[in-house]
Amino acid sequence: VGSAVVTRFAELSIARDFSPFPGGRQPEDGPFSGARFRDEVLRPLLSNGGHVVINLDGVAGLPSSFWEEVFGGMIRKQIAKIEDIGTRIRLRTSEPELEVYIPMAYRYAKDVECSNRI
Amino acid sequence: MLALNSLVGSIIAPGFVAAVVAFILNTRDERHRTLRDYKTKFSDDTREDIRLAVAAGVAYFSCKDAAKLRELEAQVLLYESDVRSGLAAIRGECAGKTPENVLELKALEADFLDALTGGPFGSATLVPDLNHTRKLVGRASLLRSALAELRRRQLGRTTFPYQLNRAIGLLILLVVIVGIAFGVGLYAGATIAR
Repeated sequence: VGSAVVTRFAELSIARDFSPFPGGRQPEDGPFSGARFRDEVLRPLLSNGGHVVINLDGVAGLPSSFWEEVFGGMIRKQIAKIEDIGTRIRLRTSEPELEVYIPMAYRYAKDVECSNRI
Repeated sequence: MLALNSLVGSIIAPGFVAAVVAFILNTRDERHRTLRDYKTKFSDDTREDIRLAVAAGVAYFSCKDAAKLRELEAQVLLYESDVRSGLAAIRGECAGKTPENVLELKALEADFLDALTGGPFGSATLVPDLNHTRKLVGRASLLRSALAELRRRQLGRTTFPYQLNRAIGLLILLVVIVGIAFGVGLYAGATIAR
């Protein structure tokens, strides 16, 4: 008889737990930058093999520079590996106009991974 | 009595049926045309929003005036939001009917947003970037032409069934009118024979 392992995902809402108006890459670009979100919000949840579901609902938008800094930056800073995106780190939204940011996040991580290999 | 029967059978009843069927067909026709025009206008509006977003984006990435930069940044973000909501509605319209168009639009939208608010966007100190500006214009042009092509294909698809529908409706109308006239004629013939 096999045993089922139940993985607990921490729920993280960008709008509620960070800001509904995120923007900028580096902390000097603004108070809700991608680097701050990655290092101060996401990193603690991922430490010690943690799993997280990031809910995009409620944000006004996710400027690509912010989003690239979060996901591309996670690979650059070795906070997560490419295979963690979609497994340990999942993205969710119920708003059709925010759906486009989900494949973008994977692409940013993949682009950094590819450039690291080269 | 016979004359009245003949009048009802040959003119009034077919005329009434023709009027009712014509009314139904016209109502459907009008609704279809209104919806088609609305969708075309929506697609055109979204293309226009993309154009405005590009204009704001080009101004932003070429700006040397730090004071004006924040104003342009706000404009880009507002246009970006308009473009996203317009494209989400167009994707919703394609979902289920043509999933390949949804995937294509999502990929082009991601490329466009990546250029519009990516790279150095939002940084405290921005240096004008000509290459980024060119990338933005190129990607916007691909997205705009994909939207125009999609709308053309949608119009081509909806026009043929719509015309077929009308032809079938007219055929039914003709059969009904002939049927009523024939039935009343038979009734009148039988009455005379008696």
